[in-house]
Amino acid sequence: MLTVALCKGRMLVRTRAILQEVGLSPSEEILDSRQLIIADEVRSDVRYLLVKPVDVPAFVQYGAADIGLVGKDVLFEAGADLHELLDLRSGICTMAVAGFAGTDLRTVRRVATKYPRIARAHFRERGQQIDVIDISGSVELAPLVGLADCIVDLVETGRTLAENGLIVLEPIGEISTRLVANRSSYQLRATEIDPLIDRLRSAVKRCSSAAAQTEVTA
Amino acid sequence: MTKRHLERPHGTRDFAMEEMAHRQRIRDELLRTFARWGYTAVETPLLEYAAVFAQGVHERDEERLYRLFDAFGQTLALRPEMTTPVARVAATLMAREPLPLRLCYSAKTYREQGQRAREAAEVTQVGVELLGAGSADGDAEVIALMVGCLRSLGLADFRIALGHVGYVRALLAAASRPVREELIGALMERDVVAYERVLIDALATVDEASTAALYALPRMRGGRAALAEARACAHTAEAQAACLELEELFAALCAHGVEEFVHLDMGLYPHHEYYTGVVIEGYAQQLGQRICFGGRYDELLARFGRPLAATGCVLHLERLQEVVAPDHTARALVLLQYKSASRQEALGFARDLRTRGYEVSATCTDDPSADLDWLQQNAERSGHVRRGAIGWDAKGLQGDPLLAQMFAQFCEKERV
Repeated sequence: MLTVALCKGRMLVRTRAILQEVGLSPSEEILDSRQLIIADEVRSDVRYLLVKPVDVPAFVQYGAADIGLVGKDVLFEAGADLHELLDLRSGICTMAVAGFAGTDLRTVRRVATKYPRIARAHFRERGQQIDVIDISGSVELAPLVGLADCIVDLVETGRTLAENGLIVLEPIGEISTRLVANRSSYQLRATEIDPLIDRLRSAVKRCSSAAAQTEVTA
Repeated sequence: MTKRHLERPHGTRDFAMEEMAHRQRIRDELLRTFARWGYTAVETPLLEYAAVFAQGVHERDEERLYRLFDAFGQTLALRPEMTTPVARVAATLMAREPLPLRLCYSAKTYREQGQRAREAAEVTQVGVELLGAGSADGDAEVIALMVGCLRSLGLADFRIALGHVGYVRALLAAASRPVREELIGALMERDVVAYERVLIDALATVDEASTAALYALPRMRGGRAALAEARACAHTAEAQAACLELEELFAALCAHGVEEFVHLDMGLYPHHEYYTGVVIEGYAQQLGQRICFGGRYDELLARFGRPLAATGCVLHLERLQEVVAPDHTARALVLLQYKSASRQEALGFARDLRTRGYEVSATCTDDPSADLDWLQQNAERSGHVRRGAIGWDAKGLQGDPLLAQMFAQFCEKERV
């Protein structure tokens, strides 16, 4: 039985499409069911666990799942002991420092974020030691009420930022979904995992070349 | 107020009761297996001069040493691993012993906790070092011994992954130093995404054939077929030599009858810089961390003045405790409860039982409120299999019938 940990939530539509692309068929229940363990409709030796994104690394690291699909932001933040095997080129967005236009990043002292490790690492690279204010939501509020000088957060379209009068001050890096594997499963179930990686890899390649095509024709 | 005096430092553990018995059984079994393969035990100090480890420890790990100073201002360190101290012993105390040396140990090692979750500061390493063999047969012996150990513990679902740092370094030689270091960092983390990204960024500086080989490296996995793949990517003499070594190793592993437990994983690159050839990592079902690791290190002993080829491998005792099934077969535990008036015959009987192989605890209980029911309950809670009370009744021993019979026979014998 190969157990795959997936992120609950709106990403599931896209995730299901990727899995179908490589010959897996998580049942439709995956999209709206309250069930947390979902069977594969064709392969009886595959099942899916639906967990909160931040929990995917823990489920995989401790062997509750053999492999998982999860965003790089979560992976970096968790610092988990895992194999990172493939960039799925989906769920792409940007991790960025954001704040009021005109904020001087060199004088920033307090940063509010859901991603304390990423924030610290980024500012350390800039040669700055910052105080991180670790909050779990409505991060955009922090500069508005003077809680922090700026924020570090995921930016998809920039709309939420704009609605709060904030802009991206500095991009940190691109975030995308990664295939991760438990270190022991990677060795013990190589015969199941390796072909899956290969199929995913070619699916990703097909998708990105198709995307490039569309760009050219447009 | 924190009750600091009731707590342990982070990353350390206590062991007691069933867990300790389980731990003890595993360790005993491992040491017995080592002995069957002709390995003799060594013990080295918990403290060494930090300079000793500077010869062995990977630079990334150096800052994770627990350090302290002696009265003369010398820096000491708690040992972070055993290979380096054993190498020191082999080059000094055992410098004139005939080769090859087969040494084993069971020792606690210490390392400051890293960023990683659930990493222990205190790790019990149970391992072997084979010094002065320096051949595929030596490597195969250590690997087969590891398979033997894991099987003797009743593990069925485990896998030993083999890599070769010589091969990886030969492939990496095509890249510039900064690129090489980034690639090694990604390999160590098993971050294939970062690895490929570095490779793509370096496209302009590395020739095409080498890039293709490096690109294939993390995915060269499996049985002998993977070895063929590795050979196809071996464009230098060093890489080809590594492939030949692996081929011979596989032949030797076959002869040991352990081929089915072993597979190649050419992307394997350990954190220790002192490895020079084959590297070994073992994994068991249900635990996402390796249960054993090791490899060939041909240059370490020269740093202590005795150039010797060497192969070693250590098992992580605390992790084995998690994957080995506990043994529930009851031991012959006996509890004798006696009143001080019956001390003479009770302790004599205890001595007699112990010589016959029973494990006997004898407890004096003069408390007048301790009646036979209380004694019974007390014994049940403490997990003893057989219990007898001596001195509560003039007739002899109350409790387990077999024990009562043995006690009667014992008293009979004493009288004669």
